[in-house]
Amino acid sequence: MIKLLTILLVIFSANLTAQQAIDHSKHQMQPATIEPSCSTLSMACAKTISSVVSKQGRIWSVWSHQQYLYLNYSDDLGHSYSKARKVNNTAEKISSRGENRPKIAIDDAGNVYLSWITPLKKRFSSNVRFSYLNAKSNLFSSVITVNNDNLVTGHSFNEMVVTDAGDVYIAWLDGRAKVAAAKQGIRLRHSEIYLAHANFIQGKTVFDNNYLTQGTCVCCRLAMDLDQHALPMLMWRHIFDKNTRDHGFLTMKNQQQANQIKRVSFENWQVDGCPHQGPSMVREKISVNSNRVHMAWFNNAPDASGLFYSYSDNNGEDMSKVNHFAPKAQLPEHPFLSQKIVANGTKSLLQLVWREYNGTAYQIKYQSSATGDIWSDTRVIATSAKGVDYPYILQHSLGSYLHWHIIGQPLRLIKL
Amino acid sequence: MISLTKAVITLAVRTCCSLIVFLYSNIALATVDHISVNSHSFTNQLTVEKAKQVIKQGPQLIVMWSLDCPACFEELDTLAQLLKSRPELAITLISTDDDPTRYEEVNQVYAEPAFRTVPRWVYQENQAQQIRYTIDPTWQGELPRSFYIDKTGKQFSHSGVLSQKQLQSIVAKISP
Repeated sequence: MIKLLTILLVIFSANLTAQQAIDHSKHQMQPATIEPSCSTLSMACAKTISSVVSKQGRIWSVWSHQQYLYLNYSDDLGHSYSKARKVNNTAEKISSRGENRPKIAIDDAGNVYLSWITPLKKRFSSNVRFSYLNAKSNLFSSVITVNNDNLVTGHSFNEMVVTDAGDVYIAWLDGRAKVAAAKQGIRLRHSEIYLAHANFIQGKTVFDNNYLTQGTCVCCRLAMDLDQHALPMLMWRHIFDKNTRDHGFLTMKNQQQANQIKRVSFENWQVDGCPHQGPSMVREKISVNSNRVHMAWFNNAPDASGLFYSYSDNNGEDMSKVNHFAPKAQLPEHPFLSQKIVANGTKSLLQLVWREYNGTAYQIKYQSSATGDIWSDTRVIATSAKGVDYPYILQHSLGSYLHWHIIGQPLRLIKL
Repeated sequence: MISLTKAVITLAVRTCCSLIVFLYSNIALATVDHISVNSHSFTNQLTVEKAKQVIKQGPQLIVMWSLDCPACFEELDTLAQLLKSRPELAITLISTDDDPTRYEEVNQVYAEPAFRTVPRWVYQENQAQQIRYTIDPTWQGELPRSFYIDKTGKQFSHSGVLSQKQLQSIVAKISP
């Protein structure tokens, strides 16, 4: 009887998912008009939007409304969007603010991978969640929890990279050591980084969980990219000594084991609190400097405050001279680095955007550089008096675009 | 008959006293509520204009905190302990959670009895940067953030959890 019920349930669920696929196949493109009110389901009203570009130039975006995650796409650079598809069939809380927001990535086959954080009832406890849209079946996989400790503790600030071959890597700030320490009466004030791996194309559908390092700040986003062997590399805000909030960097020996961490910033910001400002990092994919890792970050030491940039050609062992490109007086924050590849993949341009607030309006500023040594003059790309999201860059075959969201308005894609 | 009269008088006096206590408590509640949290709904959303008024209100310690900041809860615990013994201290609490879907959770934190005597605020929706700039234009959003004005009108700020020593020093500077 139970078996029969299970079969019926599976058939019913499959039908529901198939129905979503049928709706989607209508390709109802919706113009990106300004929303009069944010009480209804709409992309414009989402608090955060994360996007990725497929090889064919389709911009996939993930965002949440109430307790559901939605995925839609645009084939015309954001002028219109497909009907949004619900990712999770069962309602759950979704972290979608500041540096803790849903992530999206895509592989060569066009599978779209989604990862997000669902907060639990206990304060500062949450799980890393995952689903992907199968390019062949056009169906979402069941939502699964990535962290495998089954503990009510922190698993947050997820970051995800996916290789062309479909290797999915998700890293996050993990609190399982806090649970163990609490049993011994010790209150841990830092987190650990864990890394999970799966490959759904190759049938590895269960994420392993691997400890990478400890002693990280508990409330800043991670930065993640792939090295020349398509293994993840990570940068994050670390706690050195007692309370020095500088940045750590690591590469992987293999899919499970990390190399020793390197300290890559040295402003010596002493703060016993939450900066809520994680770094950005990108590795050069082409050119003679193809192992060069570019890094940008915020720090706030009394004599070194604002935004900083530096690069390393040997995985953090040595760093280039630090470029303090945005001083504190301009209230700069949330830098984002990206690499534009031009001239049929023979040349590249490093691009950097960040946000400033001048007391009356937000500005998104932009600089570019060929190698990271000499930078262009700073340009203001966008301005808004209203509350705005952090800036990101999308690399599209038709150009590089600033990805900037103002709540209540259509996502802005501004050509750099 | 005498006992009946006594009972009527007792009842009248009790009713009268209850009425006075009820009215008084309501007046007291109303006095507190214009600066603090109603237990069922938020009436004290901090706008830029209100933030300007808050920082003009003489010597005080203003502590900014967020639901997303574990270190802030250590600070709030310390402040609650302090306020239990010194409820008269001029301390103001400001939650930077400028999202109405989180106000109820902020409200739960503010339900701590020791906070009943202090003004408690939460940022108005989508106004974090503007309010932050109004309170302290040198502040970049790190939390907890303390901002205090001493008896001479001088302003100071501190990022991160206050140590007991720092807190005692501030208390001495803001107390009459």
